[in-house]
Amino acid sequence: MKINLSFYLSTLILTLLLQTIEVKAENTPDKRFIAISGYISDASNGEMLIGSTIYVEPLGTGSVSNVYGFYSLRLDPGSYNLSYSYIGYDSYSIQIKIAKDTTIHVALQPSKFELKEVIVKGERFNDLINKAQMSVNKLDIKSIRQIPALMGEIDVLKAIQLLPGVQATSEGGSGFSVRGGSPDQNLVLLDEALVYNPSHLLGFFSVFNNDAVKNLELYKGDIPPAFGGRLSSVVDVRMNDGNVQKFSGQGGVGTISSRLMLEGPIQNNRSSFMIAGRRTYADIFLALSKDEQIRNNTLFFYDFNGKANYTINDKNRVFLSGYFGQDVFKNDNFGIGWGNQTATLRWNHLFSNELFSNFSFIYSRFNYQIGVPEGQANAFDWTASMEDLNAKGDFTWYASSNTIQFGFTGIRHLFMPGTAEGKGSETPFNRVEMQKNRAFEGGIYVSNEQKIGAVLTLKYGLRFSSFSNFGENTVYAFNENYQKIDSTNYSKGDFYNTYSAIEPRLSLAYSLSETSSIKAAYTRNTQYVHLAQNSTGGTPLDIWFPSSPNVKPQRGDQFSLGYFKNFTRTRLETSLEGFYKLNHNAIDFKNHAELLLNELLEGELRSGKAWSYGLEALIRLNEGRLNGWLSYTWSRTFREIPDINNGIQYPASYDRPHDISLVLTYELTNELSFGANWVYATGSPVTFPTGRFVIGNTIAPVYSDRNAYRLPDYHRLDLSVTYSRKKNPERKWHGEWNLSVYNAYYRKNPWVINFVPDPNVPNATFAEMTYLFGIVPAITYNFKF
Amino acid sequence: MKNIQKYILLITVIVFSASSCSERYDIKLDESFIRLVVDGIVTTDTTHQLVRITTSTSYFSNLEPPAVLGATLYLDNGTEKILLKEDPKNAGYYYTPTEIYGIPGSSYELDINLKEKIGNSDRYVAYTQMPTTYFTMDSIVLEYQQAFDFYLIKLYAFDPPTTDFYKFDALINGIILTDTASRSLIVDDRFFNGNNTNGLGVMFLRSTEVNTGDTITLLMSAISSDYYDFFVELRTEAGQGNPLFSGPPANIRSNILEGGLGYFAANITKKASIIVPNNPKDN
Repeated sequence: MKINLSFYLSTLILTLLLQTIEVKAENTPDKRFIAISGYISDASNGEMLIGSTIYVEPLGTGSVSNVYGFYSLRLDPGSYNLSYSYIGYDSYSIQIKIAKDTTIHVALQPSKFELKEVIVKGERFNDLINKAQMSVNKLDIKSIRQIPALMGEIDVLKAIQLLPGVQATSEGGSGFSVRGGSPDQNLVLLDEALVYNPSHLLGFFSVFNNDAVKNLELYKGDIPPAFGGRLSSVVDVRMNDGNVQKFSGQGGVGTISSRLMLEGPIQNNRSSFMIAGRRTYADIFLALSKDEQIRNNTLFFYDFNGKANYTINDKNRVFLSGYFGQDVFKNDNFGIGWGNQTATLRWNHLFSNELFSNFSFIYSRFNYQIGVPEGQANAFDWTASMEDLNAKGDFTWYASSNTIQFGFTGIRHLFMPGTAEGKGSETPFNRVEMQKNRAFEGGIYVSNEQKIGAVLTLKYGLRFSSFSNFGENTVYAFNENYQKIDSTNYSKGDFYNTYSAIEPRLSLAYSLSETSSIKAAYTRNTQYVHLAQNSTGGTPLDIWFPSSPNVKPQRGDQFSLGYFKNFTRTRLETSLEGFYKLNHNAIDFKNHAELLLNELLEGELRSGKAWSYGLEALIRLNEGRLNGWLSYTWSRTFREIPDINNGIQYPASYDRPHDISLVLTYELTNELSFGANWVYATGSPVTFPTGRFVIGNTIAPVYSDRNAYRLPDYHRLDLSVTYSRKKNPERKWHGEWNLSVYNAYYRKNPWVINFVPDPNVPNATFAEMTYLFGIVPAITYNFKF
Repeated sequence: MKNIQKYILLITVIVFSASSCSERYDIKLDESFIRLVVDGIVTTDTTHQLVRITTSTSYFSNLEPPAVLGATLYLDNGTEKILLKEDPKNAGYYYTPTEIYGIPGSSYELDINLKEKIGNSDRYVAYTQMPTTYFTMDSIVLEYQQAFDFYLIKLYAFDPPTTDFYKFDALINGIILTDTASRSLIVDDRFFNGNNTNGLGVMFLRSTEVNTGDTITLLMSAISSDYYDFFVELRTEAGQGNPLFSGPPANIRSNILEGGLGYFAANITKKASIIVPNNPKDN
């Protein structure tokens, strides 16, 4: 039934696409329409603005700039009033009479508040209402910076946990679950490069340095066909391009880290660069510890972002960007390090002012190493890594009432799950090497966004994805008890297993009025690589593994329905979305699975069914002195996996029915602003003992059903105040102080509840609750020049 | 692996030492039904082979596990069925005569007949097989580690090229030190398969536990793969979990049929001893 639905939809979408292209082809020669296109940028530094809107009067239609700041409109010859706007910037309107294709580049000025109510100038295109795209949240870095942060470390991944349908997977961590999905079902991209482990310091901080980040988009459902490979979400993070007008910088000195970002033109308005670095100095404080064991440790992380771009001419632009980050922990007896590296080379090319294209070559890698140094007992070295090479091309064809997107991608995956060996000539240890896994993941897609009449917008697309394992490799065969029974060797370059899938993506928006609409979407996604991780926290020892003859790809179907309404000229955006999500071949691990350095990992896997459903309400206030949002999510998520919980359905670890986030920032004056956020979520489901027995002198638990209990409800208030010195036009330097308090009313939110023997009373056990954070104050000085 | 987790946890401790905190927590737990618990091992040692039978309790019972008295237990080694004697001094313990000892490769059946039903049954049976691992244990060396103020027991032994699993226990002057699961070491041999262990560090002794002149004995037992898994699970579930590493809690396996808990194991045990030369704390 499900397969049929997907098949019919695919056929329907294909028919629509072919018709559109046919009609376009016929219409092209007489060329009734005129193209207006160009780039929209920030007037203060030349940064391209992603998602700024263009409103066309008197038609009441409009468009939105793409991730490179490019926009294109199709209009009949005539006179129009074009309004360009972007949140936090003054709108710009232009009266034009057009008779031929015109290029209009627009630079918007960041708005400066005066001490009076903000006046919203002009009408503006409501992309939230008009576009068929749903289940998407955008956050610009400016608003993220105003949210109070743990230890003052502004973190984009923690900001998205405050959005409806998104939950933190553990206290203080940057791991997150979207609409009940596992953290490994999120595609986290930094300038299109996949970031496999987007966290530092065991997940407490993310790899994204906010000085280097321009924009973030989160797709929770209705994932555009240009993206694939993950079931739950896409987090699309874009770096700053670099100021093309003048040399400038920004940075900060914080409680646990310092940052510096420098940017400037290489050739004025032609090419620019941006470099940013950050390093924590938690280990400086270690030296103050009385405990020698703690004092002798080194612990820090650092990262670098770099980007350069060059505008060759109006039609060609190239970008090179990269990220390099590393975590280091070591003492005399032990060392561990992990890090991500990415590089992206991109070429924007305008075939015409109707056809925009981008070609990217991307490298991304994650690795870790653990070891006991030579000279110590049991000295060893253990390394693991994974590496992707990706080539892709994306095209957008702006036609009158259609926007057609198509493209291709190809990724070569290389997984090195682990090599461990002893150190020194006397070592008793053998070299233990897990075999490498190689795979090719490919995708092609086409989609069209089409306006039908005045009220209906339809977006439909198809993505065809494929995944092939290739040698050299040994594939094990398992019997029904997951015992290895056989193995087959494949030689180098031998493509021995291929999966493919057709993924229909369909959404529509029906405008009820100029400020309200109803939207519906259906999305199918396929995920071919999976994370070997069965804890909720996420450790640096995360290693991914590919689909294979023993591991079927995960498949997800999602249905969404929503109502969107804007009030008082988009100052207030509201939405209500419902979703139902079904995940086939959901991956789980048997009880007490061994996931590390296990050649027979595939025998530890169990696959079954996971599903979730929920309602998300969001009220968002934009532009003005008071900004922020209130979100409430009610959702449930369950799993049913053979061999786990006796095959009976159980709530997944991310099942937290009620979830509320309130995020507010208020600019009292131009110098002083306040931020507050309050979060509430039902406690996570947990498994507790219901009995005990004794072996030797060890007290062992007998457990309840899986996740039969819940931790106490989670709630927390964070506050911040920012004081920025009055801008002195004489001076370039501009500084501000930020004081933040995490967990302001000292809620003891349990991180874990353990059951431990009482050291003082024989045979006694008690429950012990550990919480990570009391009140955590932090002070940060930020500067710009 | 356990050590790696310990070190990574140390990172958390370091980072959040200022704010993280543990405290007792009141919680109400449901009761599960009472089950029979078996803790029995046959070894190659020429001593009593002991079996302890108790019952499970509610989690916060906070009492000695209730002993099961008056049961009739047989150990069947394939050639004879030996009746175990109930220990009059230690309730719940049953033992064989001293001339009974295990032989590598042999299969054993433990047959438990209860006076009255526990759970759904008054008869419980367990089968086990002793591994056939021809390892040799040469000697041990004690190394004092100043930085951490503990002794490391270093092992000189030969591991045959077969796939083997070992459990290490320590005795001080004949008294077992590693009586809780967290203190025993269990390993599989894949990192040193077929090698001389060349002073592999297998156990830590706190300097306060050891006096100059004490006899330290290391027991090295070859165990079955299933008992190894049982012991890993026992250690994991009896220890403390944390969201970074712990997989979902799950019940510990058992080879006691009819829904019993615990394990009936058969191990090849060898030992080596050393006398503590000079404990710095005694100076």
